[in-house]
Amino acid sequence: MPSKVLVARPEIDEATRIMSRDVAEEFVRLASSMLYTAIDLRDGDASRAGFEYAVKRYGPEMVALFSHGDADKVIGWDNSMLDTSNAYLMKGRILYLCACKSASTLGDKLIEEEASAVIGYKDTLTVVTQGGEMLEAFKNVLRKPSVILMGRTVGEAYNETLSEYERWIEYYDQADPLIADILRSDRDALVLKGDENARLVPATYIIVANTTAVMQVMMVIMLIKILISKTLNTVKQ
Amino acid sequence: MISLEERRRAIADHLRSKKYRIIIDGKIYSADELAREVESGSEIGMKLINMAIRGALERYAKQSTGSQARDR
Repeated sequence: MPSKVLVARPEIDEATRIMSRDVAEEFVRLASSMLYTAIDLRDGDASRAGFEYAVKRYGPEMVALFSHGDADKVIGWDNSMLDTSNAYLMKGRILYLCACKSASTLGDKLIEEEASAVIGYKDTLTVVTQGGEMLEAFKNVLRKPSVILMGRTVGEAYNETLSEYERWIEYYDQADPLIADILRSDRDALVLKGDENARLVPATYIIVANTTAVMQVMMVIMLIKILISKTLNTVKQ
Repeated sequence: MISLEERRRAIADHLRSKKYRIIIDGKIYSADELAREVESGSEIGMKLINMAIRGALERYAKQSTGSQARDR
């Protein structure tokens, strides 16, 4: 059974529309291309009720939320989508909270409620856009935790995201120091809580493993057929 | 040593020279709006100033580590 990934991206205002289009969209695309079952909650479906319904119905192994946030919640379409009172629903799941501050109080509560791991921001997340689009640096760092979908552990994803920050900071220290300073602030807000060895089993691995198993069974059947036909031939002679 | 007032002015001027729009604390600010926030010393403006100060310190530390390594 392929792993399931739930992405929620309520487009409440211009900021969340940019986040949805420039970051969350890539998560959904990658999840689908890696043959996960991707549950993409947008707008009205990304309400608290819609989110809770989808979690209970599909039981996703990973949940990625792209929205506004505060220390104890992530905002949904019409109210808080995930907060300390429904954090228990995240038991056993890997979370990426791409929202301001939500990995602080809510992050602690999620781990207390036995979520596998949480990657997110414990402080303000600041993003720079130009011409209606996020600068490439911000797109890349915010998308980076998607390497979890490729089978990396949460710890590896966290470290790769930090390295991506460093790469862009080094570039912008020369090109535009203010952008480098904003990236530094985001980097310092990024945290990992819970089991750093938690990982998803990529759906493609399961399919390859199953294909191999099917091929092995077919080879055994063919060998049995050959043996039977040889035995029959010997008996006839 | 650069004063806070000079730093404010430098950041505001820099912002005005760019066409960035910045999402900070969930709100989008144009470069002009954010430059005004920096000049007035509002909470958002101070947040940006603090980022710039911390960034400058880190850059300075990195540069001095690099030059010490070169001197050896």
